[in-house]
Amino acid sequence: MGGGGLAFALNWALWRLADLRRQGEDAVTGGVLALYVTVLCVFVEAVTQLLPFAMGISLSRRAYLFGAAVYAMAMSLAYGLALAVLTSVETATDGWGVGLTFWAPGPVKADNFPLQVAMSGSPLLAFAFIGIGIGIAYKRWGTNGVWGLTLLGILVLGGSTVLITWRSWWDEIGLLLSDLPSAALLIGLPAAIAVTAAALSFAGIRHVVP
Amino acid sequence: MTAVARLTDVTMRFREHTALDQVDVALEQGSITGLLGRNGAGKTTMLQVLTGHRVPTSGVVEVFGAAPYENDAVLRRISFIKEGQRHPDHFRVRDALTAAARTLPSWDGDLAGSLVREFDLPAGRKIKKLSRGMNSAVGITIGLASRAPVTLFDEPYLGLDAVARRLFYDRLLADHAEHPRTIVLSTHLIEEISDLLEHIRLIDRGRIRLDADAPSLRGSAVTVTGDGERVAAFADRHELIRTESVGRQSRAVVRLVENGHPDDPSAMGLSWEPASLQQLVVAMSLPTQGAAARVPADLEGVPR
Repeated sequence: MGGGGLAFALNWALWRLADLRRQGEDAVTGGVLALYVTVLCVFVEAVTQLLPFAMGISLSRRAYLFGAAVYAMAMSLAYGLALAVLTSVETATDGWGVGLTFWAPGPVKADNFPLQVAMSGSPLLAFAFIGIGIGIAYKRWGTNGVWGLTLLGILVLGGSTVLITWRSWWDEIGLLLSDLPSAALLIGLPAAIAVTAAALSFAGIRHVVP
Repeated sequence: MTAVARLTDVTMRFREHTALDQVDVALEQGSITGLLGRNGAGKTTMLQVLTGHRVPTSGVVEVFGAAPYENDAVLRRISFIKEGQRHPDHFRVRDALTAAARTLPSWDGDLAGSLVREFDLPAGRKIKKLSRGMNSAVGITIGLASRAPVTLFDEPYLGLDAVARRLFYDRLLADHAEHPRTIVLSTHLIEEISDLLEHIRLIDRGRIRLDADAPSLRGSAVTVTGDGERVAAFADRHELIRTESVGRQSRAVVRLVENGHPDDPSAMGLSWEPASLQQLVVAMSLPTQGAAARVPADLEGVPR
């Protein structure tokens, strides 16, 4: 949680020093993303460092992946709880006394505590499994695998953007997303990404050589 | 003896390279086997196949009667310590040992503790702060303390000094005497371990060139030196492994074939000495003489 904590400290100092509360509602921060990116990096390393060791002490790839998945789920739940608690404190203290909305910015803010746990925790699960997937791509195909994965990501995202712009679908997509409850979007979409990444990881790990 | 692990007609091909070529091997229960061969001969690949770390292109791999690939029931009875085994950087030495203790059911904590003391390992130091030799000592400690029914060491002594290597060999022998298990030592430090071995397998270019009991191998070969024709005549009666000639003089490594009566090279005017295991292995691993003979001819054709 160090990455998120550091980002929070920096943001709080900025809000306090620059008195961003007076700047109006536009002064928002996505600093909590640092926590999510840190989780991704931790899980990349969990594969590159721990998988060879785990196989060295006679665990199967499948047992390792199962363990990593259980750990990712437990950690997402624990961090989801912590984020929900921090969000409650943030609300109660009027943004830590400086009007800072850090732990659940904008649409991530839920109406009640259990929903907040799910909305904060579900993206963590997605980042954790993406990290596992990147780690496995690295172990199986080396840096070429990671570059390939990055290129594929750019192609899919960039291609989708071009397609949507070309077909002028932005308005329809905007309407569709605004019709969906943000909870469904922020819990369901990351969960679907996590499940997809887990399935791809399972397929990819089968021939990893430590 | 009962075989606990068996490779049957195993071939492992990489893109442009055949690492194992129709290998048939059986590891007997309770034996200490030396897996010898040059770098790139196929030793590591063979051990990776035995532990399910690689799946062979063709052939059958069985350990305790089942395929080891992704087989937890088999894997927990195997310990594989490979050259330069990576332990997580952020682990302390004791963390690595604790993790191994949790996954290896025959783990002996007392043995691990005594090995840590004997190798002078700092239990509280992070792995990334260890020297290369200390990292190897962590691997060796895990391998020995695992007491796994099949324990495979793949050149585990990287960076270890001669004293620490001796300590490893002594502890391995002592512990094996009390707790017999199947051990494979892949190495090219042949002389150092030749006394430990009960069985020897030489692998060269992916093929098993020698598969023999160590006692029967010791004293089974001689190096004879003398007149080329006499050396050739002596070698004809046995198995010539390799010969080198300078002028009329030849020197040959010859495996003696039992033919009912003793054959004394001295009687033929040849001087001789028993070939050590290392001499025999080196002679068998060098390029074939036909190939060696062709090299100078090719070189002669290069314009100056």
